[in-house]
Amino acid sequence: MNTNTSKKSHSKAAQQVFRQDQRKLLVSLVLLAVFVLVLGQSAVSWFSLDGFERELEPQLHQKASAVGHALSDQLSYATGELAIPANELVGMNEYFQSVLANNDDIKYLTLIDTDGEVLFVSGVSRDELDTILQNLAMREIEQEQFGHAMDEYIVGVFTVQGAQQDDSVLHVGVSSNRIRSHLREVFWEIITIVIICWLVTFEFLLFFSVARVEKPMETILRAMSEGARGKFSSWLLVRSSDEIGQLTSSFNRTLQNLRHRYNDFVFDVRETQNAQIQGEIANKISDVHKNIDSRYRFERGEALQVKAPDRIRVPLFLFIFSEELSRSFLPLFVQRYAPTDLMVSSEFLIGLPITLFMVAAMIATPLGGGFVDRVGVRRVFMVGIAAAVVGFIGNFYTQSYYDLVAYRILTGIGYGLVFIASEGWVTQNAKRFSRASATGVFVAAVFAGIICGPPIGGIFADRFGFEATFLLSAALATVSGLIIYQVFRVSNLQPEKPKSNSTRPALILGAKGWLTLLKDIRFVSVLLFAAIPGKMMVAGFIAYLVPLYLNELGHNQSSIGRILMLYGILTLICLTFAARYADRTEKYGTMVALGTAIAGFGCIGAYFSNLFGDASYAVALAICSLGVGHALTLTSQNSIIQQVAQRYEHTLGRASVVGAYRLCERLGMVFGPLIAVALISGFGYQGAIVGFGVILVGLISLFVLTNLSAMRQGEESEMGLTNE
Amino acid sequence: MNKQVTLSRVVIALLLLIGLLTVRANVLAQDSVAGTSRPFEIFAVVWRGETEVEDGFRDYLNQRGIPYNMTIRSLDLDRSNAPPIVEEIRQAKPDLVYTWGTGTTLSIVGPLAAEEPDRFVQGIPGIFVLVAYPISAKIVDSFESTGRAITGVSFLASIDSQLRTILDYGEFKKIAVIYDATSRNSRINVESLENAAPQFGIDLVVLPVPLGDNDKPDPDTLPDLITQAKSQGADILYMGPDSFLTRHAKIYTTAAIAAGLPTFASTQAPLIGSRAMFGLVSDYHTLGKLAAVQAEKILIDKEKPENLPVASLSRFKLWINIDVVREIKMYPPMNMIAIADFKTTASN
Repeated sequence: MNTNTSKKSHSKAAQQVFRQDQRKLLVSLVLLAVFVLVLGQSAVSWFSLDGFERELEPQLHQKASAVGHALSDQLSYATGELAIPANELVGMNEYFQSVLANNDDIKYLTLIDTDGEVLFVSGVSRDELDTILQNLAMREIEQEQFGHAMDEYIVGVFTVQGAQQDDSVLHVGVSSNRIRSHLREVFWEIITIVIICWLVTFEFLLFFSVARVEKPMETILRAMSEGARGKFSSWLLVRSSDEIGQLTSSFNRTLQNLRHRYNDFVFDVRETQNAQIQGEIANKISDVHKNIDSRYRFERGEALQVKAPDRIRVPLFLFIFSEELSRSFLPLFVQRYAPTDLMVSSEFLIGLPITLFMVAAMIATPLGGGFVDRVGVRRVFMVGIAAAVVGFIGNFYTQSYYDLVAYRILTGIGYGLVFIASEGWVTQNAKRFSRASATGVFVAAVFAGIICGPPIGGIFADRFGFEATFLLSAALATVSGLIIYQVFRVSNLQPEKPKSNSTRPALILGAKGWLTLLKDIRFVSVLLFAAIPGKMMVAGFIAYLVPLYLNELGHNQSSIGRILMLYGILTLICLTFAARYADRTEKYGTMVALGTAIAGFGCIGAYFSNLFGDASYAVALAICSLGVGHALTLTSQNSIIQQVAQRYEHTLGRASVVGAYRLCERLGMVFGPLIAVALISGFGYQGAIVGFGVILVGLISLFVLTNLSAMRQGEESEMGLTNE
Repeated sequence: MNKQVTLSRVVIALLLLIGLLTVRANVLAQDSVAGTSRPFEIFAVVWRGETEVEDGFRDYLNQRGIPYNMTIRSLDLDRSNAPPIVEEIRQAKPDLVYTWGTGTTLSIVGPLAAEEPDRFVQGIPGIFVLVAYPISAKIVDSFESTGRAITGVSFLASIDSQLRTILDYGEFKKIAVIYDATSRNSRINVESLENAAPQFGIDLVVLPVPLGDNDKPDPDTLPDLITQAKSQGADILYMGPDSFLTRHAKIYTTAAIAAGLPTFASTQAPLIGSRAMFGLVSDYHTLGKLAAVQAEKILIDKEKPENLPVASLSRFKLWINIDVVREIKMYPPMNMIAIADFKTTASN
């Protein structure tokens, strides 16, 4: 017995060591691939940007030259051929303005007579022009006169011929700033795409390496460690024909041959035993046989399956990605169709589709739970994705506000179903993995989608329009559906009957259960003061207010998407550290308070927009603080709820409590846009951001007050863990 | 083997036959495009000698390779010269009658539902050019459907675009229209101006030319009328499609320049023959080509003239007489210089 356990622990340790080595190999492979990608992309981006910069000046010269020649020809015609004195030219302002309107890069135009007196100028004020003229340094490029002034202006100088030796001079001032800002835009787009490429590459590499290499290897290792304990009865269910698949089937053959040989051996032993006349020897042989049977087991037993919650990581990522594509422009898209002849404000009509989307998702979630129990995870996935795809395609063909809303609701139902299916999948597959790591997979996929969606969607929408982006969403969601179909086919999973109604706990809680929970101060305070406000910010601020406000501030879709991306990136970066810190210190309550306060004060910072120069920076700051804040609170909220649930493990059931919490939390998403509408119509965009901040800070103060005593006493006792 | 040879011969023979037929068909088709060997007979009647319109008309027909003979007669500014020409046309039985100007058209093909149809050419397709107001002159029912075997081309820019051009040139507030009240064309034109001017925020000074002893407008009153316009605050003169004014354009424009008033012309003649400052006019050569396109439809495509809408040009020429501009010192704005055609009085 003793030796047995030591053996067991020994083999387990060996497996652990092996696993870590194996992990190392995979991680370094993925890292290497991403590193090479980064290197290549950085080089290409750098060269192309460098190329832009080098091309910039000659291009500016060319531009000034082309416009200058055309203008000086026309002016020479007027002053020379038609002999109109240069200072008596009519409509010069309109003439210059129309040229400036058609040529973005040209900053100003001016006509100066022989004595150096400025006759006409457009684009800059007289004073600005005087400064430029004072700093003008002339040089000749390709037989044309060019002036340079103040690092910014490249000025083409052209002679306008007069009728009697009274030539005047035309200056075409090109500003490099305008083009530089275009370049900056391109630079940011390149950076965005590079970051997203890394993320996507990382996601896919990890997906393939985990699904195709790591998990099968792990299964083989399990079989081998069983073999080390003398158990040769297991066999492996792996259906791929790649290298790992070949290894697996060869391993299966080895086990099969071993079984045959053992059976032959047993047959021989029996023969020998039966052939013995002396009972004593026969008994000895029988003992040995029994002994061998107890030490080694050869009969074919159950198949070892590859179980990996990681497998839905990529399809889930793609699905979230597809939904997030429209994040940067959805309110603006709705604005286009919002009817103006109704009694309600247009802000409300713009917010309504977002709210109804959340309501649809919220209702679909518990209903989908029952659905999962009846028809299985796979079908719910398929139905959910199909609904979302139809919704996206419907939005592509949007004709009116009402069908826009209808298709958003359909997508919302799909969204809810996919979520509940994912949760079901995690529950079903998390037996061998800790639930935490399974949830981690979930969160990672969601945040990768939240990061990639808005900027890519924005870039796409800028170039191909809003509607086309919905088509891209439909395509991505379809791909996600195909991968999920494939995953289920390969792993040959039967719809498992869950032992408990794990996926729809909230519904079976009952009135009494709800009442118990609502009396629990800790549960209610986390829910009301941290969880619901958090979701409110996601739906009301990120999804509704930010796109509208940034659009009003003059940002294009790519830029809005990029700024929105900050939220996902910061959350993802801080999440790991925050989770680790929270688990070490176990100060979950403090973390929740701190995170929400950071988000709140970040929003209040918008009050001082003027200090930033550009209000967009205030928005970006609010988004960043929200990202950091959510990273701090998310895991800690989860831990608190798990602990609360533990208290009711025997009365209400752990899963029911968590389910109830998740359901209530989503109320924040439903009310978020409505609160935003109210704040915006009361205080304008900037005031609404501050308002959100005040709400967050106010609520979290209540949280601190209600939990103060507990927090002071230290978190362990606060949880009441010691009492249980 | 043998069978195959025979088969291929048959196929080749068939191909040759098809080839020959195709060539023949092409020849036939070409014949029908260019008409029969007989050239089309076109009978043109003009008002005061040939103009660039007829050049453009011929140029187009020549370019298209349409065979035609064109007979040209002139009324020499007198409608009483019409009857013998009408008789000549009846004898010649041409394929198409071409008429230049409102007076000519009314004298040769007559108005719609004429009281004495026998006085006019009938039953022969007609095309008119240089008719300012064909509907008001009762030549056609409407531009879309002419209501008789006649169609044509209109040549005036719309009143709106004329007024817009005037305002583009300068900040004019009050336009004086001196016109021959005995001419229907001129009366119609003044009416349209009176309708349109308020939308552009322009005031009108309308001055009919007084009649002389012979009950005809008296050209000697023109300088006085211009002084009168000036004293009433007009800052620009408008010259519509008015043959009386066109005839006396030199006196008119000289008096205008002396008074320091620019003249806008809606037809080409005052710009070429006198010293109007600027105008929005159709190019006569292009106009002739457009008329020839109508003629092609009637002669080659055998379309009925009554089904052909009256065609109009989509582009007009902005003519500016730079000599007059310099004399009055009223320079056109730069945006207009870029698109205008400049003329000088000397080159006329």
